[in-house]
Amino acid sequence: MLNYIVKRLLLAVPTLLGVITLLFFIIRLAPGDPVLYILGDMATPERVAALRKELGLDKPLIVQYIDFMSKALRGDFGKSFNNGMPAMERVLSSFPYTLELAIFGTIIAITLGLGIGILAAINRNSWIDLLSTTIVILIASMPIFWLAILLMDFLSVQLGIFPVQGIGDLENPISVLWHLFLPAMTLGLGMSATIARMTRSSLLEVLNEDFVRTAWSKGASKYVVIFKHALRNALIPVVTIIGLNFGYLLGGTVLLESVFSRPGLGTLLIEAVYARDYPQIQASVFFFSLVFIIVNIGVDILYSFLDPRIKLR
Amino acid sequence: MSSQVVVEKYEQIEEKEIEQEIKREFIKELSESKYFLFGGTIFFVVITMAILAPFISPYDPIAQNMRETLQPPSAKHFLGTDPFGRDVLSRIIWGSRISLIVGIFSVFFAIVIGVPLGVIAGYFRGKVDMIISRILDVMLSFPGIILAIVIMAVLGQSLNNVILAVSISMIPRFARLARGQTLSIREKEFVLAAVSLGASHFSIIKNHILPNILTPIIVQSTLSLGSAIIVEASLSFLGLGVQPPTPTWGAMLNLGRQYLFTAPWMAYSSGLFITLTVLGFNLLGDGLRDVLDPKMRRT
Repeated sequence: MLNYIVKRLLLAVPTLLGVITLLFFIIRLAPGDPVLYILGDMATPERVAALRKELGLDKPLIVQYIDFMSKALRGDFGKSFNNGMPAMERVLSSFPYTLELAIFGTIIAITLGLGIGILAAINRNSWIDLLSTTIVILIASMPIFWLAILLMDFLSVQLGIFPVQGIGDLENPISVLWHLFLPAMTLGLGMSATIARMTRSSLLEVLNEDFVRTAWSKGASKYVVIFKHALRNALIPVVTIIGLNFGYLLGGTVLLESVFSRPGLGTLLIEAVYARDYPQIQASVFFFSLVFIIVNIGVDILYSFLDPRIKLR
Repeated sequence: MSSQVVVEKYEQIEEKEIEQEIKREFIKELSESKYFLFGGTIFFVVITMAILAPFISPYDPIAQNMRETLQPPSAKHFLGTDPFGRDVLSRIIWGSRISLIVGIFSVFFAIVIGVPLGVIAGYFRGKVDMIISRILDVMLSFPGIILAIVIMAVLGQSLNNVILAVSISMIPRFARLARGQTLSIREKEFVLAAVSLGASHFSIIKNHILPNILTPIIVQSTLSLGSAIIVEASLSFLGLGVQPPTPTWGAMLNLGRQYLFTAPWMAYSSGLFITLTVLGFNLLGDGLRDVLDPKMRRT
């Protein structure tokens, strides 16, 4: 197992270097001079030259690249053009808000997805199956920000149950949770569609296997057959789907933070994009992909626990 | 006529009949697929709306009329008006053009770049595969929408850049699919036979690999159209898509949410149209997959 984890971690190193390289070059493709953008067109040539030197833009490209790479590997992406704070520091202070949204969203997605999937599978071809399949297909076709607006309109504007925007009073955990519920619910609902679909088809497949038939013939109860025998095996592809959908989840946080006016990594990225704050864009995107890579490694390791055959490949 | 010639003629006729029978069966199955029919109808309606926009749109989609701002739906304005007095229905009709143009072109470019990359990686394996796979890994380590946001941030807002951003974010899924399919097809006996007969790599890829990986790519491209439309709408929603006043469904939804209390028709109409269009493509893809690839048929 340890070998597998080490191998998986080593494979992530070139990917991470590739991400940093892409971030370095993609920003250099931007039209216009970033220095003029920061200082404005009216800046004196002396000030332009001074800032160019400060940002290292006067050096040859290869030197800039090596410099960028060595700093990026230490988490140093320079200072935000916006407020002069270290870009990575701002990322780290925004991340907890995104993380809590992602964690609660995932919990809701797994609970709803597994629940709906299992219900649909054990009631195959009934009205429950038809209803859940229809809901799942509809939700899978909705952009997450539209789902957010629908829930916001219904639960916040019409019924007044949840707050419309914001993160609540940070001193009061209940207020924080209350403000978190609707964005997390939206994220969870959006992601639950694929989980439910996969759970249903995977469980139906496993329910036809010989070992499940044996369990039935031994006289095991429905509960034991489904939860003890079938579900564990049906979960393997479901875990993959959860891992694959983590990108959807991260992308979803960017959009939901915008809809619900929440602070977080997504809000930071979008603000940086509007302001063309390149160090901040690089630091935020780097962190997004770092989290994405780590979660994917985690999912692969979890997958090998659930299905020991994977390690042997 | 020698018996040899007669046999060959019979074989040709038989082959043609089998081909026709397969075609008939395919059309019959498609016409029986509820998913395909429903998805196809939505697709037909949206594409007709986009093509006929100049003829069916009741008003100019960008003409402002400050005397008729935020009007609720009425006989004059079926879906009401926005804060600039623009007719929402006309903007929805014209907005379908942007959604479809971005969807169709970005999926097309993603296929044109992604599929050859995947086929080359899967066919030649070894170092080529390693290099291509690492590049794809890097692209896949950005969630799709975030990659698109970065590209828009760098290149600036325009329709071409939106198409480019959405295409790039979709390349890995086609390359991965093509690579996986090629890896399995190239081990099949008919490919090994072509190799032993001395066929060139180009001819093997063109005549044996590509035709055999086409089915999953067609299915994937239909499903990807829906995702491309969502990515475009997300970019517009964040204010990073095609520049205003060009009507896009995502930007309309963004404007609409600011008036959710007073003028909910704006958000609702654009949200519904995005969902219906994506639903149409998803169902079309599901229906096609069920007919083209019975193994993948939902359990």
